[in-house]
Amino acid sequence: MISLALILLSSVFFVGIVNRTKSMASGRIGPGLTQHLKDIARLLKKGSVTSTSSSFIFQLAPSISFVTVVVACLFLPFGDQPSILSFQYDVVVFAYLLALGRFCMVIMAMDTASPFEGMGANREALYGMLVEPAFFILAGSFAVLTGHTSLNEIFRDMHLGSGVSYLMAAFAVYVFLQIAMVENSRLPVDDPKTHLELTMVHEVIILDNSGFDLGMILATISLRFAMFGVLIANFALPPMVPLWGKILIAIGVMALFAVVVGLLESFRARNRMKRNPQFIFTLTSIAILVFFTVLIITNKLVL
Amino acid sequence: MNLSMPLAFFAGSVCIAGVMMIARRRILQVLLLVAYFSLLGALLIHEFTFLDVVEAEYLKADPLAVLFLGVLAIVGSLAAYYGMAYAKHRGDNDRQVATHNAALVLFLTMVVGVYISRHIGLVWAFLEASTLTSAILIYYNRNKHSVEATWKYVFVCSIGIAIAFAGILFLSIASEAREVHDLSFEAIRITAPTMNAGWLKFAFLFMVTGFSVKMGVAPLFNVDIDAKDGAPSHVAALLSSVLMIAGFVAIFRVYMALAGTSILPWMNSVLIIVGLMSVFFAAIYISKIKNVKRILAYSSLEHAGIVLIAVGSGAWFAAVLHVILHAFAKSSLFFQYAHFFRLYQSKNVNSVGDYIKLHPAGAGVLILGLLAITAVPPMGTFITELFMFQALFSGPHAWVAFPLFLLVAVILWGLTKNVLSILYRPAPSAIHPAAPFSVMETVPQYALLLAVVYLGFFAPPAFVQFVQSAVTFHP
Amino acid sequence: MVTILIILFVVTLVYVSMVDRLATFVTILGIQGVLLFGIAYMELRDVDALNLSFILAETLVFKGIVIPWFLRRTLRKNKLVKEAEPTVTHFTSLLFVTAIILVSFLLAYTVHEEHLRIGYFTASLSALFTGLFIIMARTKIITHVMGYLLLENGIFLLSLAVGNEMPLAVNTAILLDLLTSVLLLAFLVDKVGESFQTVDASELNELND
Repeated sequence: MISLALILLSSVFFVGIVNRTKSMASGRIGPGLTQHLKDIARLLKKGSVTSTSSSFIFQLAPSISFVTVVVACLFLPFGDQPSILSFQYDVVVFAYLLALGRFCMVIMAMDTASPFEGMGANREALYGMLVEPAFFILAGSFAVLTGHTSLNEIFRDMHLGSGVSYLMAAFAVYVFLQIAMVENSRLPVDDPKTHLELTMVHEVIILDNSGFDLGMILATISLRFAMFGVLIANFALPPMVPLWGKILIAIGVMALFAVVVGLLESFRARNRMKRNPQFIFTLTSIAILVFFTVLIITNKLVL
Repeated sequence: MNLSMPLAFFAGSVCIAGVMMIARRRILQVLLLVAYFSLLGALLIHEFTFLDVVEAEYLKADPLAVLFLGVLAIVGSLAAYYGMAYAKHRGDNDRQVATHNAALVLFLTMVVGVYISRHIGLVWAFLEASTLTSAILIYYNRNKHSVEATWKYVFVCSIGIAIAFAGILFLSIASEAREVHDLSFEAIRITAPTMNAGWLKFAFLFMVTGFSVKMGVAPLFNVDIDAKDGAPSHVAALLSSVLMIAGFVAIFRVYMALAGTSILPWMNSVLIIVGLMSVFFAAIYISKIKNVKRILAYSSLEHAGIVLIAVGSGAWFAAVLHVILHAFAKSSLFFQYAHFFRLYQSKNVNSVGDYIKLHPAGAGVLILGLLAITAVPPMGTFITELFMFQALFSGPHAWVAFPLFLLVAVILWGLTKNVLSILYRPAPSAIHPAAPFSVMETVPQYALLLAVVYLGFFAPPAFVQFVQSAVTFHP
Repeated sequence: MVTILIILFVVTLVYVSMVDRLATFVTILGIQGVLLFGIAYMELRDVDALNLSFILAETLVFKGIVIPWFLRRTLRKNKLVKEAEPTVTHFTSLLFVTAIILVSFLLAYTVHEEHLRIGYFTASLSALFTGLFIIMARTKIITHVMGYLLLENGIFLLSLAVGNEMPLAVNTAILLDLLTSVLLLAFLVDKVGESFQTVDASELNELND
């Protein structure tokens, strides 16, 4: 419950903090912290215009995508507080819910038959494919480390002991941070502010969406961002602290996460398209390292 | 009993090399070279007197080392002589000559180190040092060819030798498991039978691969050919005699140290495969290419391969003798090549001819040398190859003899065709009539070739016994 | 602690596969030198002082400072900035290096030997093969030198893994050889640049049959 509440809370402010950090870094005052909510609200009030050549998929996809993220949020625990939904191997379900959302977006883009959107869908699918092994290997590492297969139990039993496990957690946080950037189409893989269709990834996919659908998509993004924020915050929760302390820590971590994202976006150039696959695949390489480390420190290898 | 003689030799050589860099006058250089080779002679006599005595903890001269030291003294001094002649003829400046001589001295010293070390790590270190010093020798001409040859040679040698070091580490893993911390060849030989055969195989494979670049056999032979092509001919002579022996010593000592283990048949197969591959590549190239210097280099590849086949088939005596005889024959030919190039200013077989009229004494060397490297009866190489084939037939790898015969025949055809073309084809008109060659300059070359005949067919029993003792073990 | 350093060492290998700025490559080599220094220090604290100071000098001073400095000088002299046209794209290199790490791990796991820790063995084999891979995949000869250095680092790590120190005399000789070989190679890069007006390995084809 707490995690869901936190996700909702942070989804309210997250994008706002990122935008505010960016505008402060570039010397502007920038929009208010809840500006994106107002945008979403405005869009949701509108009706949407759909092309006559597109099918029901086009109208269905944004909603499905939104729902997948909401359901995925239900699986997230908060420290030792259990999540709403939990069963064995729910890690897999979690990953594939996100993948399902992505899949819907891809076929939605294909449905419009626009060449630009086809290109964007192509990229989106490629990046999704590349990011997946990183997530699974990392999830597998933690499953091996704790001996459990549901997110709930993994985070409950994950206690960082030695220096090696701190390093591992650092790598894991790095990988999750980057996965979040890729999943949410931010720098350096994709730039939400870009104006040229040829260099867009996510923006070009939603080019034809308008009104309610577009609002839904924007809401999905801020929700997903908040979800990753909670996921990352989970790594930083010390087991001994009382609940309110944990909540404070989590909020702090997520605020930090948002500021980091904002700073990264302000000071980092976007990758050339050609470099993206390699950038994303690095995450897998590092995840593999984490996996090996886990195997070694847990003595899971029959030596 | 002066046990630190080898150390004195190393120190003396470094001093001589240092002085050479300062005292650049030609006459002083000659004097210093003479001093160096006297020192080398003294070391040879010393080691011959104190056979199999451990000196300075890591050095020991067994009969094998003494034999090869002798070869090194002979070929090395002749190379120095021809090097001076080469420089004089080309009018190279004093600085270049001084650098070259100093590098020559250091190079020979490092190779001496390879011969007399009894610790595998030290053999490795001396081999790498010989690569580095030989780089200066190969670089002598300072033109595009020599830069390219040097770069490739140093780089691939360094890689090869790094791989060999990994092999040494594998060996040390195997010995560590047996609580043995000493990596001298004697210690390895004693404990090797109890070590893990898998690690030993790994170690042997890596070391053969790594040292192959120094010996000039497959798989890493390419740069060796390039180095011989890009280097001055007397340096090429050193590379295919002294340095080839150094690579052989490294491989042979490892092989001998592991010969008491269960992997002996496997090692034999590896060496025979490597040897056969080398001869195969040599045959392919010799029958095709027209660059005389490279043809000579590929012939070295062939002989190095034959030597390894001899080792692998158990004819160790033949292997050691063959590597010595080949060193004499091939260096004689490379020395002769300097005359050849001076006359024609070309390496290409197609643009030369009539050598027998233009330089009769040199043509004689060429004919005798051809006989030596194709192992035709008056030459000692015939005997050693005969032994090799004998051992091959009686061993488990008899089938290898047939492709080997075929390949050797191809090489014989390729070499003879090219040499005959050099000797008798009408010369292109552009050749200057009979450049003045003093007969004296060819005398050492004849002497080397006569040594090949002598050591093969009329070898004194004492020499045979000495070679025999070089391939048996001394506790 | 050692494990952390080893993991960081492997991470540098992953990073190496995707850099295209040569100066960054040199920096990574320097970092590797420092990491090796840390590993050697942790590992060999109980060896005698002379041997220890020797190995520390080799890692920190040579691998960490002298060699990177010398390589930078060579880069500046030849006005080299980037690995212009990698014949193998960075993405493929990354795939390869990841595969190398995987295979090394499996290899280390299968040849398991009680005197050999898996972490060390994996890292050293990965560095060895990554070095070889870089040499094969890149075109500039200065990158080849750097690949050679990676390979050397791998072998150094392997020698630590084995833990069988060579005698001091042998160690000295080995260290001197390595240092000279790198300096010589860097010097030759200069010379190749002067004579060929390029440092592209594929242009080195004056000598052929």
